[in-house]
Amino acid sequence: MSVDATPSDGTAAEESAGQSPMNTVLNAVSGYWMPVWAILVFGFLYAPIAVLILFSFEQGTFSGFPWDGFTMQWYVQMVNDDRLIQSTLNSLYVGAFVTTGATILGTLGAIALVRGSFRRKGLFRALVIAPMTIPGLILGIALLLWFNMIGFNTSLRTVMLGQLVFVTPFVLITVSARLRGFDPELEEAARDLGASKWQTYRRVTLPILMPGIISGALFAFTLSFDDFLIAFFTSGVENTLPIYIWSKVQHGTDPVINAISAMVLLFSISLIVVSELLRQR
Amino acid sequence: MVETHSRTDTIVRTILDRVRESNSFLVTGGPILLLEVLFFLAPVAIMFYIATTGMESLALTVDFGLSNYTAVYTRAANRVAFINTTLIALVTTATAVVVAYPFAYYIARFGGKYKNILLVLVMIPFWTNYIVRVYGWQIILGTQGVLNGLLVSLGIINEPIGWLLNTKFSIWLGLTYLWLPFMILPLYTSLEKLDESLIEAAYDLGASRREVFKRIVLPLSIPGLVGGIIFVFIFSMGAYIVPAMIGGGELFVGTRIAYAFGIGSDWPLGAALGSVLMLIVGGVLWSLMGYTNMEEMF
Repeated sequence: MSVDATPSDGTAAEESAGQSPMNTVLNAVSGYWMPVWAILVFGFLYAPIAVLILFSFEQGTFSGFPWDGFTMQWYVQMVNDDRLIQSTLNSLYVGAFVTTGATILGTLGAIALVRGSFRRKGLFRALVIAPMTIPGLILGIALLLWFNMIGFNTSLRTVMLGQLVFVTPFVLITVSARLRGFDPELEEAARDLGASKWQTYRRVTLPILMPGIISGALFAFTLSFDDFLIAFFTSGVENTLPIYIWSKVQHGTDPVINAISAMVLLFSISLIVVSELLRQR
Repeated sequence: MVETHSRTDTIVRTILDRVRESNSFLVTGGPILLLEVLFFLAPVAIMFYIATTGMESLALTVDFGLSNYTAVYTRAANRVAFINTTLIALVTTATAVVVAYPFAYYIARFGGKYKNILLVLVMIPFWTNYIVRVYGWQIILGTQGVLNGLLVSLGIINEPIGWLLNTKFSIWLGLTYLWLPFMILPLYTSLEKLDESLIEAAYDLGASRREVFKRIVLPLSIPGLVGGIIFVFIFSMGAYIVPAMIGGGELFVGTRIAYAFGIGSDWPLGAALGSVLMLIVGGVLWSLMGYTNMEEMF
């Protein structure tokens, strides 16, 4: 029996494969429950997002039924919120630094991990991957204690350092996947033809790695832009966008948050679409 | 004479090669290593240390002892928080496996040309700010929320359901929601690599669907499954946003820690709670890391 790649064909093929009537029924059920399940899971994943966007246009101050009418006033309020603008700028500023730093360190680290041959590589791998598996809460408080101990005043600068710690491993993973996929002989050929080590990196390695590096960079930016926990503990008195949203959420429901959410979502979607287009090249 | 010369030459070259190699490692691997040692290893180590000190009127005192560590267990609120958190994390992980497995399997095997689009659709929520998404659930689940409003207006229920928000139920739902993509993506990566012909061969040899799943699909998806379990369990154990926003007053480790660093202003106790949590996280990583490959997960 052959299972074709398209859903309908796959189902049909499985149904025809069943020998006894019992099997046919079972196969029919199993052929259909999975797409239904997939739709339900998508519904689950998008439910809160859809609700937020919907209610960002609702007139009533309380986000619930019945529907009171269409309005753009929450978006107008959002645009006129100075603290919101300031915290968004802060987030972009932090994000730009973290993205640059994480992309450079992560790419170099990926080269060391994939190309390097040295003892204790396992230890190196564990140390550069572990930070992305540690809950942000632990990293946040540990960094707060550490900055306090070594006498760093917490500010946006400490947020950048803290975010670098867990963002860089994600870039490293993304780039090393790309690096593993390409033939080292290309580099060797360049060296044989007289290119210096630096020239080889610049003219051969880097161009091939570029899609991986760019999607890693976008990943890094998103992680930095969305990070709440590290910033919450290490930003001192300064606000990033997630901290601002958090402080607003603490004061109860407010339709302006819906409008902000819709914008944040739109932003994420455009980033991920760009990233995926690059990855699939 | 010539021979010894060439021999020293080889030795010199070997040494030079070694130096060059370690140099290139210092350039490539050095910076990230320095970063992680200075701002990951050192802070975590310091956290374990601070937990042994005391705090008086907002200043740390050099008053060593294990009293903060023992307070994690002896103080009822902390103990209950750890029990609640572990149980909810376990249930969340199990739920995520049950929800994500068929989903990932379906996309990986039958997604066809839509695979990539479907995968992007999974990743969009994953890339969207999580405070915002949890806030969305707050709007849905409240007593006057969207879901209750809908059910009442449809006549399915008369009174709004109260336990949807600010309960263990909502923590479980919120955590499952938040970490589900961390289960789906590694599972998908594993299942996508699965060789179709193995399954066909098993069917040809007369295996039932159940047998094919148990003896081929499941064993080959172990790396993704374990990777997903690691992420979902660890992130649930360390969750703060969900219990703080939609968890009501339920005792949870994350909110206890944030409390100790905030209004509670007892950093050493917070550090002790964080250290115990870190030990649990480390233990899970240590025991399960070998069954998966973190580098090929995303």
